[in-house]
Amino acid sequence: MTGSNYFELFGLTPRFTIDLTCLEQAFHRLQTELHPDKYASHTEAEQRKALQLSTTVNDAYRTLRHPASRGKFLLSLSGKDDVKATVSQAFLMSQMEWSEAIAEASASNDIVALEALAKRLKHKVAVHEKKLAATLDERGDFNVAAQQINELRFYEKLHSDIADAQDRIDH
Amino acid sequence: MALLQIVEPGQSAAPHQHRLAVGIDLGTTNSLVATVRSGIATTLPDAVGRMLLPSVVHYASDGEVDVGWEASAGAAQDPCNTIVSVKRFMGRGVADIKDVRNLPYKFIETPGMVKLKTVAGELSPVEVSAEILKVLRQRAEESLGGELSGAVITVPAYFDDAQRQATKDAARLAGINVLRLLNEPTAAAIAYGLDNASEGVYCVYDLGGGTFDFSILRLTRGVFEVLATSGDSALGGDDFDRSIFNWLLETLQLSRLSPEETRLLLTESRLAKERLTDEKITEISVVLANGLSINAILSRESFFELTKPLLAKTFGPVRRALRDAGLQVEEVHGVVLVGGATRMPHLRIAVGDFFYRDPLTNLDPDKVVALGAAIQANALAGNRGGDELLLLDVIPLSLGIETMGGLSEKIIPRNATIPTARGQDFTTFKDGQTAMSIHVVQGERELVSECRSLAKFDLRGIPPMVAGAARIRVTFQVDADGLLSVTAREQTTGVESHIAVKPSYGLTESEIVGMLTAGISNAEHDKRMRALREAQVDARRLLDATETAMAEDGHDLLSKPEWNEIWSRIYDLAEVLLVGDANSIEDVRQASEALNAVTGNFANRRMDASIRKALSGKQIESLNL
Repeated sequence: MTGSNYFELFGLTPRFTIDLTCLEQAFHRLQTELHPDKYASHTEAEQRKALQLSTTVNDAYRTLRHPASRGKFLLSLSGKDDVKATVSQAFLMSQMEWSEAIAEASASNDIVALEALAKRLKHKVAVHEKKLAATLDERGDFNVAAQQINELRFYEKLHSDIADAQDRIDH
Repeated sequence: MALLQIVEPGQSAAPHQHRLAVGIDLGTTNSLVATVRSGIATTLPDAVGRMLLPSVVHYASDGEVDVGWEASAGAAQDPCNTIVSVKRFMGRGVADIKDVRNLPYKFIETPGMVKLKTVAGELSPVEVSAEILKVLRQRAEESLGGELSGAVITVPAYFDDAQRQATKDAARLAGINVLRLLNEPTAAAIAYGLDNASEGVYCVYDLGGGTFDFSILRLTRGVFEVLATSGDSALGGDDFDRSIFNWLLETLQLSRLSPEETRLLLTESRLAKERLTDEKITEISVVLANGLSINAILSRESFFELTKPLLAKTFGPVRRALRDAGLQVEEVHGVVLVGGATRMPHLRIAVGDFFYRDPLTNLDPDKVVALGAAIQANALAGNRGGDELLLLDVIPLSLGIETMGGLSEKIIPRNATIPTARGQDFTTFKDGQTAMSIHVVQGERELVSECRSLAKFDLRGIPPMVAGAARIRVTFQVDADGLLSVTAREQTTGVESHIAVKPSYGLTESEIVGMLTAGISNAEHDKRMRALREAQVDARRLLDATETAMAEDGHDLLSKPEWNEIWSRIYDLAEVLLVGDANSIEDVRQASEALNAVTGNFANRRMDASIRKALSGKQIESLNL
């Protein structure tokens, strides 16, 4: 399937702000019809087709459910996914501070500090997503959006760094 | 004869025929088989009414193979030829197996998977598991009065690709059509959720004999969506037995035990553990072969103290799954306990303390997995009452490929909903390069050497170009069983070299065929009969599926000539099947292929109709699926 129809697949208007409950319900409805489990006693040809379609639906769902990939997908819909986005010096500085704080908490196996960092980051991401929503849905400014999506992906990286540190300590 | 039913086109009884399907819990310690009868899932007993089948296989020197209770009872007399907890060796090398030197077996390191040296020869864990499955299959067929149409077999959610593939191979050796490999905690959630009409976020804490799984699911109106899963495929109730065993060795200063004594003490340790569930204190007394009698008293408190580190080890994966699902403990509506080992009182307290709520234990922790598997098998077989159920499961461990410096680059992250596929583009490193190696690994660690190696293969036949010009798209597909297949093709030249890669671990196709034919007799005729039987079973399944499809949608979706064409191929195949001669195996295959060939378009139209239904009338044409 060509990616351009992911929103349509779930019956949604292509916007950054979407109703996640609607998305989830449409996802369940589609998988109820297309999941390979529904074809376990069918012919091989139907089983192959179900595998392919169900895979596509999972892929589409994952893309739209997560804000950064949803934003990036919207950019690609408007042909702006190759916009060269840079992040500001100030943003990079703040990223380095985050990274240092995570590394420090990780090195001293400080679970409490990591948990606090995760909470702060969650708040930061929520604020950032609101900004991105306004940029895309209200102003339609794809150049600024590209930069904000890039920043969002930096935050996601920080999030996974914290989770990795927590995994390591738990292990 | 059932085949006569198809002679009247459109009059087929197939759509309403109840297909015999079972769920099998192939456990480390015990195995069970269950089915859905009159809408109710129930486990099937053996001839004397026992539900559990100990997962123990004994190979006698006279060629006799015992499975279950008798094998278990004789374990201490012939430990080297009595295989206990074989599940721990599935898809594993010698280096993966914990405490190898304390096990009574003679392991042989072979590429891919260990083998065990027994009086019956060198055996793969796959063959040993197949013996257990054969007994369960026979039990089911006798009890249900017919040949099984298929089975759902459960595996620990945390099983990697090699362990899953080994399980599927074992089923094939046992002559079982695998409808699906189902994750054990997910199976438990189905049985539990349907039984209690639950909605919301539920956790399944599953401590079996040899494996620990923890899954988080969201239950909404018949949809079971796994949000995250984690675990430890080498931690289970066996380890709690072993703590007692080690404690005995230490306190009684025992050393250099024979394999027989080791097995005896391990069994006594397990019994002591089980007694401590109801008793505050227990006595272990055994007489060893050399006449030395052992007496020890173990209190519940000391046992708890002894095994505290093991219990603590389970909560790492619990916290990780919660993080992966983005959930706090408070958001969990209930915790279901699964597996015999969750009967231990200190475990129940620890789980209750962690989740601030009493765990749910109203279904028998030994049976709940088999019951859930039976419900899923019934649905997959297309029997009535199964169609409201939808299961969305995940891959437990990330899949990656080796990049420069021995690092793993993740291609499919853990907890991705399956089926899933990801493509990755590669290019050449040198001018004129025509081949490249790809190494697929599974695991969370950064270093390839710390992940499980799944497959190494070479892509050949890349057209010679300048470095960096070739574009090779490698696609990783994980199917609904959680099994990986890899395909690759070069895209710039238009000439698509398309290869499918069978992972390099485990058993090869020829080894499986060898095992299928061995043991019966080496006579050429027997081999042919066996192969014919497999082809016939496949052909009957195809006939059944096609007839059902024709009855459901044939009139709506096919033109008259298409309808006739398919029916004539159905007749051809049915006729070949009736001949039943060992010489007709090629005919069966050819007739099956011919039927498959004429139903391709029909299959596409049926799928399109399904999509239209799912999208409730939206413009399907524009979707270009």
